[in-house]
Amino acid sequence: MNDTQAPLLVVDRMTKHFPLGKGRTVHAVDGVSLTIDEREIVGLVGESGSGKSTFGKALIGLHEKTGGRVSYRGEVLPQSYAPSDFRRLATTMQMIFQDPYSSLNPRMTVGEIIGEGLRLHSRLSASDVRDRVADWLKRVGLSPDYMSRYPHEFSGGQRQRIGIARALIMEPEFVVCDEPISALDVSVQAQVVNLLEELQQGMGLTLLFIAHDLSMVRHVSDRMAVMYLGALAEIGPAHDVFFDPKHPYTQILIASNPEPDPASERERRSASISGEIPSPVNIGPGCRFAGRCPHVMDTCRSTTPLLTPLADAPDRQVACHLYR
Amino acid sequence: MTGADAPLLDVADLRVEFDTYGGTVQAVRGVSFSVAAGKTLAIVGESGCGKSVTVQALMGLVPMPPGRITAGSARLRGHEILGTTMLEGRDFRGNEIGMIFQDPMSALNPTMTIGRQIAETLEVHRGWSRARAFARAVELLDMVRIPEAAARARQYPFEFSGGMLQRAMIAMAIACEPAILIADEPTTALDVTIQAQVLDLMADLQNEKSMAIVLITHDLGVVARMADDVAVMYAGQIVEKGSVDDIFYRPAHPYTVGLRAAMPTNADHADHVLRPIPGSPPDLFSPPAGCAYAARCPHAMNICADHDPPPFLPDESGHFGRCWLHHESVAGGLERLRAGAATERSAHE
Repeated sequence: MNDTQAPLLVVDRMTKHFPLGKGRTVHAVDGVSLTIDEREIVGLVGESGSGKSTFGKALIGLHEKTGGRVSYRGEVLPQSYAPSDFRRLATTMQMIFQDPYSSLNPRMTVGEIIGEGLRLHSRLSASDVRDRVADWLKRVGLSPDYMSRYPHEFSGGQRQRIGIARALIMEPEFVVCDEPISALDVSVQAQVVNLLEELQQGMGLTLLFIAHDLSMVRHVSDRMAVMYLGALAEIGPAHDVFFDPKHPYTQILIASNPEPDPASERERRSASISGEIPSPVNIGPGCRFAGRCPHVMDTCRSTTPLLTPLADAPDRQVACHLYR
Repeated sequence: MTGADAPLLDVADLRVEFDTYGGTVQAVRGVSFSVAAGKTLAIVGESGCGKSVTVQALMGLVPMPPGRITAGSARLRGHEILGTTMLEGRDFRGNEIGMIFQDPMSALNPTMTIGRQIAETLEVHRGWSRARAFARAVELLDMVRIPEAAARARQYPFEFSGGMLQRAMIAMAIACEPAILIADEPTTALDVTIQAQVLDLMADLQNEKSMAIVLITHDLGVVARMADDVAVMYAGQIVEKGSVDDIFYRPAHPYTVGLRAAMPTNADHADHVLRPIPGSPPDLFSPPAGCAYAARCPHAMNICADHDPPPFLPDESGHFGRCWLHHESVAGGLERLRAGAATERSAHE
């Protein structure tokens, strides 16, 4: 991370609210600010309902933003994408989806799925598109002969490779990976993660890697961001956040993550907290975690803590009154 | 009640097949294990390895046809429980075995209140009155730490979150104070903090009631946290079985080593290269004659392709691995087998 270089992507206080009617609003993403440098892998973790997928989708225009700004290489991206914006940005930003079963059109062949982006966004001839698709099938470890087959003929891991080829054939610079491995078996997760890392290095990609598997996010990411109820609780170098979490929520999240090591599990004191992630409807002031936090103070219930750099580690930011 | 170490449940050579349009799938191919009171056996494996079918066969939940139990026995306190359907076996099984399913939303009846569903178990198996059973349901919900249990008992499944539904299902499973709790991927659908709550609850209930737990999972972290003993399944067979320490620190099968090497680890704070297992599991329409893992195994020898290895015991503890590397004629077999686990620790910069 080079200080002299401007970040690739700057997200400034982005919000995404979903109105429910009767004056009720889901605060799915509430003022999230984040910068991502070129060629960086930022991992975004959080529990279901924390807003991490909504954040990823709003970032690349699949959701209209309610507020805030996203700029990419200095260009402010529109709040709501017109078809021309999607056409223009398709070669810049892409997304790899969570569910390799529902994200591929079952009526299209694998060749049509992977080649569709090029057919719509490039001037390549049909045979050139076919050559590129064949090349990408090989790059993701599948046979070019699979081009005429349909998604149902493939396993989950193979489908996720198809989804990766579909996104990366556009040669984007920035890719949002939304839980790309959650639906896969352990041995297959490693195949897909290694493939993503290899392609990231080979193509110089910048990735936002959204997942709930903390160990895998630590393994993959340069920096790790922790999201709770629509806001960032903590962000910093992945290794530091994982091994020395600062925010009480991050501490509990990491203490709840079972390690595949019986000796350390026997030593582990139970760290479970009671309660569950509250409803994101009409959130009031104060820290979002105050209701479950073991260190809660009076200020936490009235003042929303802002994400601020730690005094002794300026590359880490924590949104918690304990560190003021 | 038998002695503490006598197995409560003893499963021997269980075989289950399914007839499909494509032929007969041999889903479970000779599985044997036993569980003692107060102990947790984890059955680990990836999708399609037969771990869920194994426990479904014990519960009489394998649909027949197309399913078929072709061999084996399962004795619970000496009573044979295989071959009886859910209904035939329900007097005995319902009292002695409780089961938790992976997806609580689809395992519970959406048109009945949570309290009535729990109470129904007690009415059927214990012959209790509705009022008495419902009062007990409220107590059980309280026991699994559902806040305001009396009010919650009158709510429907859609009014519960995923973690609360899973706890309600545990309440239902333990209503008749079963000797064995079978949990099929009980926390797979849950977030880590909720998973920790549910696992803690299961461990506490086990301590109080000295229940045996059979835990089906694919998550080695959950295994390390919960299990006393572990059976690793691959392609319908148990390829390795031993204590949790055996499986993690002294593995006796290349598949176990491969699974560990494919996962990120946070031990010693270092970063390791993830080593995926190449290929995919064999087709169980016609399982290979030899070792089912041979095609993916880094140590495969000529014999592996043609002859299915028997369970070899590398030490005295009862820990076994079905792998020809343990054969006396293979020099340094065990070191070779575990070498993969060691090289996994190479630094990743």
